Order: sequence, then C-alpha cells, then structure tokens
Amino acid sequence: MTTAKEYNSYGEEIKQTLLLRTSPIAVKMLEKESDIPKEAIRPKRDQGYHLAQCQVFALSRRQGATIAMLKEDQWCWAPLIGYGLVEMPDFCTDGDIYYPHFVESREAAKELAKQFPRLEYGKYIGILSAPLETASFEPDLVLIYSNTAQLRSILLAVKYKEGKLLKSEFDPIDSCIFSVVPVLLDGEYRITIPDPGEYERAMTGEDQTIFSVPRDKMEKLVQGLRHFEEIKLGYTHLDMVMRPDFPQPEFYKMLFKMWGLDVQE
Amino acid sequence: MTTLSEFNRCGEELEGLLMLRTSPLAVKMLESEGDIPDGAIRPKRDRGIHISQCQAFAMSRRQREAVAMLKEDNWCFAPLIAYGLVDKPDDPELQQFVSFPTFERNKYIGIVTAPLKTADFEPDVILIYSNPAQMRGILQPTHFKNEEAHVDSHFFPPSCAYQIVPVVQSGQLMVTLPDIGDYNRALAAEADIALSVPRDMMVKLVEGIKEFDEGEFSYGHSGMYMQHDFPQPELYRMLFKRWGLDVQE
Repeated sequence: MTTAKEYNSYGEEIKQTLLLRTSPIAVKMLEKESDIPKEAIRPKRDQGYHLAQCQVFALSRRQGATIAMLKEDQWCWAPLIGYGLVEMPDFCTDGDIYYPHFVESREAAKELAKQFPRLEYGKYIGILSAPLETASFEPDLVLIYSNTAQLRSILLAVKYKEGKLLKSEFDPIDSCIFSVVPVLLDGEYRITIPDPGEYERAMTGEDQTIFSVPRDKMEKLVQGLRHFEEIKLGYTHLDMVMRPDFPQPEFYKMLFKMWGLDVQE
Repeated sequence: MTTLSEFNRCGEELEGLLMLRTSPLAVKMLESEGDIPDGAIRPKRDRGIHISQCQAFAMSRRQREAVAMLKEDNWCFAPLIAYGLVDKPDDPELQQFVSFPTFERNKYIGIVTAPLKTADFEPDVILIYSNPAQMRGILQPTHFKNEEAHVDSHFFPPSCAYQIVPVVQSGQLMVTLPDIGDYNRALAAEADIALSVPRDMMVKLVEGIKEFDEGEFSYGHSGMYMQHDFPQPELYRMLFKRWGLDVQE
C-alpha cells in the first residue's frame, strides 16, 4: 500500500526527471465531506466564485493549490454529469449534446452519448486535486500535463514495465471527463487532448497533452522512468544529432583556404 | 573569488530552479595547450571531424561533453576571427561578414566548453540557453532587489562572437539570439534565447534566483491568472438552471 508520502516523492521524481513545467496532479474522488482535507480551498464557500474543473486542475498544477470541487463550485456542465454529481439529463441521452454542432447525424450523436463516460450518480460528492509532490491524501489517479517529447519518455517507461502498447481513444472535448472517469473505471493509463475549454479558460499550452495514471500503476511508471534514466535514454538524454563537416558556403571555403585550414572539397 | 565547486553547484541549481532543457555552459578561453582539461574532446584529433562553435556549444549543453575547439577544429569562419585565432581579412567585399568584436590576435589558441555542473575548469563566461520565460526568471530577481542588472544585447550574427568576446572584455551580461547557423547547424530551438554571464556575476545571480524562488513571480511558481465565473454559453445556463445551480445572469 503506497502512502501519501511515497506519492509525494513520486511527484518530485517525475517532475525532475521529465523537467515538467507544472506539477503532476493528485486527484481523488470525494465520497463525503469528511474526505476533504483541511487545507483544501472550496471555491464558492471560501472565494465566492465558481470554476470549471479544468481551471481547478490548472490551479493545482500551476499554483500548487489543493482544491475541493463540490456540485455548487462547478461552472461547467460536463464534470457535473461525468463525476455523477447530477443525473444525466434527457437532453444529453437524446444526443442533443452533440447534434448538430459536434456530430452531423442525430442517430450517431445518440449512440455516442450512450458511451459518454460517467461515474455512478450519487456515489461521489465531488473531486479533490493537489500537486502530487505535496498532496496530503492518497490519490485515485494522477494527471501529468506534458509536451509530446515528455510524453514519449512516459510511454517508453510504460512499454518497458507493461510489455505492451498503450491504447487510447481521443475525444477533443470533455478532457476533464476522459482524463479521469475511464481511468477510474478500468484502471488503465490514458492519453487525453486538452479540450477547447481547457485552452480558453484554463490556459493550457497548445503543445500539452494529459497522461492519466491510475494509482496502482504509479510505482511502475516511476520505476520505468528510472530505468531509462539509468541507461541514459531518459528525457534529458535524448538529443538531436548534429552534422559535422556541414556544407560550407563558398566564402567559407575561400577564407579557410587563405588560413591554410581544411575545406570541404 | 568563486571556486570551481561553487560554479558546479551554480550549474546544478540553475538547471533545477529553471527546469532548463539543456545545461548552462562553462566557457573558458585557452591560452595554451596546458589549459585544455584532460577529458575534453578535440573534434579533429579525436573524431576526425570539424564542427562550428555553435555545434560545440550544443554538444556541451545537450550531450554534456567537454569540447576544446582549436583553430584546426573549426568549420565556420566567425569564431576563428572573433577569438583571434586567424588574421581578420581586409578584403572590402568581406567586411560586412567580419565586422564583429574580436579578441587580440594570438592571445588565445582556442576555447573550451563543458556543462557548468560538471566542468573541471573555472569558466570565463557562463552561457545559458533558455526560453524567454526562464530568462525572465534569471534576471527578474535583480529588479526586485533594486539592483537591476545592466544587460547588453545583440541580435545579429555571429552569436558565437557576441556571446563571448564582449562579455569577457566588459564584464557585463549579454543577451543574444541564436543566429541562423546556430539554428541550421547546431539545432538551437526556435524558442531559445541565450544569456552570457561573466564569471564574477554568477554566484550572485543564482543567489537571487534562489531567494525569490518561493514567490509567485519566480519561474517555478508563477502561474497565469484565470477568469472564474467565466461567460457561460446558453447550453450551460439551461443545464445549470435545471440543476438548481448558480448561473450567470
């Protein structure tokens, strides 16, 4: 059983190994009020405002904040449905959530809406997030925001430890759902593209992706990253190879001949 | 007088505090063969290749190798002239290419570079490749301490000359853009910018970064402010009303 302190040290190690610009995020689903740690901010009660879940993830990874988001704190509809804080409205099950703007066919929209990942209604009262390096709680999953090169190193570590390739499906919308809910339900790693809301409201970089790690796979991931550090194939060891004796412009050749140095023939 | 181990520690700390993608470089001008550190690669002698100085910088900051570049190792004309390793040509048609700061002819036989954190020599200049936000993180503490540093700048080729020569001569900080050769041949990133630090300013600069590291204006802890209660699309308002939640009026 991994302790909160061990998760904290994983957070430090991952951040340093991958030179992550922002902290990996410890995420925990809240079953009751007493699960909320004392240090957690509750946006509506403590600050008098509402946030989207992607903004909360951004506050945790950038500003280092511990934030508990209950139903009344939310300002975006998707996490309310996805985390099971409200019942899925008919409007969504009918496919109108996708049709006509995001899915051309009503039938296909209805079919897709059935697959919208959701946690059981009423099971949780909210969601808690904090930087993994300092979180006082044991997470259910960890979110790592990285660039593509950092993700490549993460995937090398996963492949090394699991001996298989990671499969993912991509929905360009609802990243707060797809990065959390399927991971809780099936216990598998997942790659998610930050959605338009994350870009507009939470200022996620254009080069960022989200890698979700179920809690039980955290130790393995860290071990995989360590392995590639040890064999000098980790993130900071992968470098571009430059070309020596590159093509010299004509006036380089003229000068080099004048100085009695080697020139390109 | 900064010791070698203090320079090494500065290198280690800079990489951590600023999450630098490549190592800050220790750069030293070589007066004699005896100045060349034992482990330094000499490209022509050891590998049978020639490289440009920007490529040598890149080998040190990316591959973390110590590289000594003497006259015969160079494949670009600019550092040969800038570091005083050859006579500067006086052909009128070449003047537009060779007008940049130079060291005295024959004062040096070459230049050695290595990652600052592992260099086994005391540098004359520390060269830091970063993105602009990281550079802000390096320079900003001097502003908040009311000790704003004087920073020279030069944005034109050859960057290998301006990154080193005026810094050794004036003892001032220098900001340069990696030039087109640094991009073409040494694969400098499009977002890279370089800061040259004279040896005597290094420790104070790192102390400033450490002092301000926990504050919200430091590189590691600064975050963008977001708008809470952002404008909700109609769909959001419809759903929020249905769920009995606050909506934007």
